Order: sequence, then structure tokens, then C-alpha cells
Amino acid sequence: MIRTERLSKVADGRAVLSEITLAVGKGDAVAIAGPPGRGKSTLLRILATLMRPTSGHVEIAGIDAAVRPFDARKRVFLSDGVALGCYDMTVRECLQLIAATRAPDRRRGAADVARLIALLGLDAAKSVNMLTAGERRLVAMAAAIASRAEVLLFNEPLSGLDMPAIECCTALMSDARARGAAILVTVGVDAPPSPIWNRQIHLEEVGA
Amino acid sequence: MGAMVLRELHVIGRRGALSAAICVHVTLLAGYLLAWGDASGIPVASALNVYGQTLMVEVVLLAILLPWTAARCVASERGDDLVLISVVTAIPPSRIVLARALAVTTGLVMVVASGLPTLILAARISAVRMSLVAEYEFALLSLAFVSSAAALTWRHVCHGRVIGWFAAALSTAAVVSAARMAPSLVIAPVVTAASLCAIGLLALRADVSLRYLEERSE
Repeated sequence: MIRTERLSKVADGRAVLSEITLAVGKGDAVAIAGPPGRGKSTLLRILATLMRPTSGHVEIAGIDAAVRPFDARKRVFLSDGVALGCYDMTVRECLQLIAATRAPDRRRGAADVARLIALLGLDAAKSVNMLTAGERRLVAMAAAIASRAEVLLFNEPLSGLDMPAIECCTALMSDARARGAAILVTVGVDAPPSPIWNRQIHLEEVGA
Repeated sequence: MGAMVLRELHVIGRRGALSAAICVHVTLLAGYLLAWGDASGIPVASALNVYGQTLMVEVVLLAILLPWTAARCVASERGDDLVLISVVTAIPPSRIVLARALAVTTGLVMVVASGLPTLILAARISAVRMSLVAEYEFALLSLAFVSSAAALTWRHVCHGRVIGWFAAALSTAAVVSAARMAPSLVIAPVVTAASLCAIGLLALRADVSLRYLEERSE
């Protein structure tokens, strides 16, 4: 579902990613570990078609993301509290919009949104602009699950969350994996093992 | 795209600018008619009948209110924020721009239409035939398209919000002035078609310029 070959990114004359080759299959979950500044977020943004790679090949669900980025976007969802978008919207409106535009079954999408809001204890009426970092992470998690995308990318989804929220998010990601989604998660260098992923790769080792 | 149009309408509805513009428009236009709605109208503009004078007031009001309403109503995302919305919803930027244009134009059409009852009243006072009222109303509706196209175009082109609003206001005022110099039925379709073309070009450009986040240091 995710395939990269010799993927590189240079920004401001500095190599952010170098020759990354990676493959994540259906129902597979991979954690990308590494210290801050190694380009973990950049890798996810390239896979989500938010950024253009400098060189190399990216394929999402069999679609060349560089050639057909808008088609690739339909198959992938980036759960990132920082890159949530959805300004001028409440949490409920944001999740409903994502479910309405992405979920194949609209009625099921609406039910998903209601369930996720209750499960994660989100303040549905709160404006997305006013969310704290932790709340944004939870909304991004709910958005990813509501999108029902085949490829889910999570940028440090559990950092800064309390234990009940971590358990809840872990269960949601495991459910997504069980229904066949390919999952890529970025974690800190000292992240403990988790039942969510079956492989953990240090970013330095990815291109090896 | 329907969900995106609904979202844009929701954003517009939540902002107070649309209802404020409608209230100001209706109040000032009706106030003008109440104050000078006798057979002669304002003495200094006695060459025009009451309907002609009311229509002129309407044009001036719309030239001010429409760009202001468009600038205040339209959702605040631009640049990278639009790229994010496109990625999150999996809708190409061109369709987001079209949805936004449709929603803003709908709001502005409501502002224009809110003056119609007063114009009909003025037409009755001046014994103007309804077909002429319909003709001028069509011309006025074309201003909604112009304002919408100008506001969206300048919002995407200019980085500063205030500069974008001034540019939109000036371009709309220029078109309004030009429209007053020629028969409305000739100008209105041309203006509407030009506005639709501008929105179309903006949408096509969005698919290229808003494909990825702007490159900046990591």
C-alpha cells in the first residue's frame, strides 16, 4: 500500500531525507522511530502528498503520488495535530466534513463521527482554532478513523496524551489495522514497544 | 463537492457580515424611499424619476456593501491552509475554490435580492414597467458575480487581507461605474461571463499553485 524507492528531500540546501526505501503492505503497521529533526514528519507529509519529494518514487495504493497526487489523496490520510486544517469549523463540523467527503458510506460516516466524539471525549462544539495541542491530536486521530482511508499516517499520535486517551487511540489504530488499513506511525527514539505496530524502523536504517 | 459547498455556506452564515449587509442595504434603501419617495424624489436629481433615483442609490450601496461582504464572508484559509483542506478532504483545490465561489456568490445574490421589494415599490410609484425592473435586477445580480470573483481573486493573489479587500473594492467599484455607462442588458451578461471566466481560471490555477505546501525550511 505504501512504497517508496530512493526517496530524498532537500530543503534550503539541506538534505532532510536521503534515499528512503520503504514498503508497507495491507494490514501492516510500521513505526518510524528517530530523534527530532530526522525528517519523520517530512516523510509523512510527502507520503500524504502535502510535499513534493526532491527525487525518488512514491506509490500510494498503487498510484504514483508524484504523477497523480489528487488520486493518491483519496487513499491516504495524514493524522497530524499540527496539519489538521479545518479552520473556521467546530470539531463536529470538521469530522463531519471529512466523513462526508471521504467515507464511502455517508450514513456510516456520520455514525462514526458520533461514536468517535463520545469515545475520545471530544468537545464537539469547540472551534478547531481554539484546541490545545493534545486536543488537536485526538481530533486528528478521530479524523483519520472517520476517513476510513486505506493508508493511515500518524505523526506522533500518542505523545502528550494521558493514559486513558493512549489506550483509546491504541484500540482505534489496532481496529483500523484489523480492517486492513496500512499504518505508518512516527514515534520518538525512546518509544516503548506497542501492540499497534509489527515493525519498528529507525529512520537511519530505512534506506539501508 | 456538495459537502464543501455546504461547509462554505455554513462559514458564511456564521459570520455576521452577510446579515449585517442585508440589514444595512434594506434599511438605507427603504429609508431613502420613505424620505424622498413622493412623486418628485430628490429635487437636485429631478431629471430621474423616483425609481431611477432609488436604483442609483442601490448601485452605490451595492458597490460598497458587496466587496465588503465578500471579503468578510469568505472562509479565511488561503495558501497552505487550502492545501491542508484539500489533503484532509481529498478534494482538489480547484473544486474547493469553485465551492467557495458558489457559496460567496449565493450570499451576495441574497444581498442584492434583499433590495428588490423596495425597487418594486419605487417602480410602482414611478409607474415603471416590471420588465424594466427585471432587466435592471438582472444587471444588479451580475454585480454579485463580479464582487465574488474580485474578492476571491485578490484574496489568492494578495498576501495582506486589507490590501486584498481594497483591491477587490476598487475593482468592483470600477466595474460598477463602467456598467452604469452602458445599457445594462448588454453589460450584465458580459460582466457575468467575465466573472465566471475569472473564477474558472482561478480554479485551474489553484490545482497547480496549491498542489503542495509552500517550500520552506524544515
